[in-house]
Amino acid sequence: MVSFPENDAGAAVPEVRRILVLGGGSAGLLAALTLKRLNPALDVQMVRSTELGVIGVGEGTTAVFPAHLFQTLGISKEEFYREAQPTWKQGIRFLWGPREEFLYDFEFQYDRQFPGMPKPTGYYATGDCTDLSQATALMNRQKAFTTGPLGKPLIKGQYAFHIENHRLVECLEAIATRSGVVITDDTLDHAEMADGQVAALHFKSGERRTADLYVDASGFRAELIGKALDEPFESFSDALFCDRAVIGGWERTDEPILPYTTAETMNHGWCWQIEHETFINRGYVYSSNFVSDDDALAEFFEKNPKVTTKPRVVKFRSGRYQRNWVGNVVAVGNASGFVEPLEATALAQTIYECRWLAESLRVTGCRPDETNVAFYNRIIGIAWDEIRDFLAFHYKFNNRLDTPFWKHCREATSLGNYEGLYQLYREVGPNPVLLFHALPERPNIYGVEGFLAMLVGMQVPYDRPHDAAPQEREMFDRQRAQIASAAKGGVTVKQALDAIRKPSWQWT
Amino acid sequence: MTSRSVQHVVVAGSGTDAFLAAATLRRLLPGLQVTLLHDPSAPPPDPVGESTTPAVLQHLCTALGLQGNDIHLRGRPVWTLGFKAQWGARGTFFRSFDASFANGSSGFLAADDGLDVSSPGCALMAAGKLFPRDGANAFKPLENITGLNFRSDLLAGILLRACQTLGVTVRTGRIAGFTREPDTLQLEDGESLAADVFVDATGSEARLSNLAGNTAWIGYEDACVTSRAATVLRRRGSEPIRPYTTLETLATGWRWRVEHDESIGLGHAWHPDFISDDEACAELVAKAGDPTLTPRIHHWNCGRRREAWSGPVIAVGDASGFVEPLASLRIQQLILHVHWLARVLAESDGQPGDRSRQAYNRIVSQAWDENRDFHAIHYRFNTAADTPFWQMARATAALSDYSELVALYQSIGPSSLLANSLPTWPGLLGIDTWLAAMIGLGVPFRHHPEITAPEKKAWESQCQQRRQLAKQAVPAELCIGAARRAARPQPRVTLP
Repeated sequence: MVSFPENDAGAAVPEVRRILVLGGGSAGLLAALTLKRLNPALDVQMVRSTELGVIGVGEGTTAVFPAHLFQTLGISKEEFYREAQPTWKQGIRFLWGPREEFLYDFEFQYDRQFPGMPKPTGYYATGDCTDLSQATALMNRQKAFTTGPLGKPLIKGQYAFHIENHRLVECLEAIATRSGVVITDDTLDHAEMADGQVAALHFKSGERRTADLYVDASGFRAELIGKALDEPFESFSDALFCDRAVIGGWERTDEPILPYTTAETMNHGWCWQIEHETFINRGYVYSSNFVSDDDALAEFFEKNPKVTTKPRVVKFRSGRYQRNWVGNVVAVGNASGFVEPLEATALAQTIYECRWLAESLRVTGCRPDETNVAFYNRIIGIAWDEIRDFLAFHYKFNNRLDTPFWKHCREATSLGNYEGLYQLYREVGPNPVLLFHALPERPNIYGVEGFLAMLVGMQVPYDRPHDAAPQEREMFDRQRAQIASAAKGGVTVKQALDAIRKPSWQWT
Repeated sequence: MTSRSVQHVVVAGSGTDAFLAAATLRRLLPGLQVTLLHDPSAPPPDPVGESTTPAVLQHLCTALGLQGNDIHLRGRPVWTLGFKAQWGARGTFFRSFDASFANGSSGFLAADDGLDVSSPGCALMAAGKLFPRDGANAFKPLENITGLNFRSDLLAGILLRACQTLGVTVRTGRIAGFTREPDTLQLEDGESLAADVFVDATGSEARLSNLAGNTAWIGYEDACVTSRAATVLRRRGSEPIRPYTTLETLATGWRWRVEHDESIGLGHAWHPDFISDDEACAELVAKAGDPTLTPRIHHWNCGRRREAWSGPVIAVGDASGFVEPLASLRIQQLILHVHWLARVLAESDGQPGDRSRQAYNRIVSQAWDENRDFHAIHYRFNTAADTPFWQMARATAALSDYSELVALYQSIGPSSLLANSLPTWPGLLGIDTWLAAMIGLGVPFRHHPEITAPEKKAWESQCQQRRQLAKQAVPAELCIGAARRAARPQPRVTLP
């Protein structure tokens, strides 16, 4: 028998036992919690600075978030709902493209074919595109969930949250501490380097801290991956042109709590609306190449006369670091990359990163070698690029306004790795079977569904629309009516919140 | 090509490739006119026959609607549960078609101990039996986990009959030329055949694709290391029928053995730098034990057409590419081509444009390249022999799309995480087949998870159950005899 010398290479990899998470925002906390809960033998400490501010924007999540918290990490629903006080969202409502609006959910609207129908749903959705899934049917009627036995909301399926950042952070901090994560208050002074690796972190308190692995969750500052290691930053500027946001909001009075995030087309960008229980948060994301801060503010106020908080302007750059795991540093959250919150991807991407990091440690007995690091960097990299391209679709096909900004977006936005998928769509239409094979990479997150939701939602034309016979159309509408009828009897966010706060409520 | 509606397809070729393609297109697309152009004077197929995978039996039954009778009485196939490979670090391993290592710790457990009983198929093969006993006088034909070994002439016969039953227009003739606008096939008898698209199923000659100018080729020399083979068919005599296909490592290449009812197909693959044709043939004849046999020599050109579908001509099966018969995937590969062709035609309402064609080519290329890499690991990790040929093979065999999957396996072993590293989903083979091959080959990996005592115990008890099932199972001869005697071999066949 012959042995393979190449295979002895991994033997020298040291074991990761102690992890230091730098940064105490939602990314740092999710990283610390995920690592600790999935690998309890790890010594996880987190250092966060109370001197440095947090962005502190209200967060919208995707359906990955509750699944990660409750299923993967086993966090108690009772505690989370009590402390973090989230509201629910079933997706995003887009005031976008030629339709008055369209909805994107976390279920399947277009990567599906109703039983007995000759074509997938997208072919019938050129006109009316409502009620193709349970979630969108609920959103359409401002309901959060369908009603179950005894009139109780059925809180399951692919739902997500709106959460106020400070509540989320406090709640996760308490859970992390209880899970054995050691949290310390300190501010980074500098990183001590040796052989291209981090040897120790020096803090303002004079403390010098070491670990086997450093998780850089320092947000935009990217203290380790960017400043200390100087990893190249890959800009997304050929796809995403916005670089600023103005954020404000008001106390909720009589507005219903909507079961979705709203994304509204603005003259030089777009505006989100996030539904907290007692507060409505709005943010105008724009491109400083096309509008001044003052003019953006003016448009923001004009369209949101209720804003009472003093709006703040946040600058950002879209892009990602080429590698997010370099030597003994792994960057997560905003330190690993950033895109605007158009699809509420921030927490989902953070969770994706934390999960793969925890898995990489688990399957290697905490001795990740070059192969594991390269694999991690590849799949995190393609996930970032998928988000970039997904958002690019939003810009490329939004023909709602003819302002210079939107004209520029339609002309200049690159669809990146998904150009081929668009070209095939142009020819065959919303056909998930064929389009699946035009997805550029595996694994992917949004699948054919995400891209079709944008293409069909914005009525992007294709060569041969399907001409449904009246009978076929009728059959299709019957299926939609069935979905709609379950949604009609649903409960609103407010009703669902009331229900879970009753002493008799039990989480399953 | 432009998007005009495809109403008439000509399938050209004279063997299994063409007959299967024509019958399948006709049955999957009932509105399509299918003309089969075949040349009865074409050289007969290699009598040595071939083994196949479960996907082929499924295709014959579900896509072509063939019944047990059609298959067993006319095709006289022999069931195969997988492979016995004298190969890799273990020296010998079984790879069954029902291997399932992608979840939990089963891959790690099997890699350590009990690979021979890691699935019902493996246990049956290791015991030399075919199907489990069912009561006192019957057996369970587990046809979902078996491939079939066919003699090519008999398989071609079944498929040609299927063409006729399904309403394929069968026409004989030889291709003389191909002209465009309008796209027309010229025949040697002076007539011509026009159609909307043409399926080139003429085998490795790829006559139609070559005439149409589609010659760009990607070679697999750095993955499929042998380039010649010799085959003989010998009489079985009284030797029992093995429930598997045998692969043997030889000093200068490798040998395969395909079971038929009354005969045995043997093949020897080699690289001409390491052994002469005469020596290789002599070795094969000596192995067959019958000096009167004359081996048939094959020159292999492993690789694929850069684009299987170019203009109005679609190359399928051997016309589209070729790899060595190390994994019995030839017909499964052909089925993938025909299925996707039917699918693209159906999904595009019979009007496939350039992008649909490109999507088809991408799917087909990826499947070929997966097959290529699958062969590459059999060379790269065969440490069963240390001869100059195998030293060359291990050094030469390179991975392309699947290099990450293999590198990751070398790090973390048969972990469920590996499925995320498959470049296509589900692909030609699927993660279970990849894992079964790498475990079987004994590809070493660096990280071994701790497996709890209860898990180990559960595994051992499952292994024991499978061993027991195999011990009481029924040998191939009895099953085959019963299937051919019974009018309907499913679902239960009574023993004679």
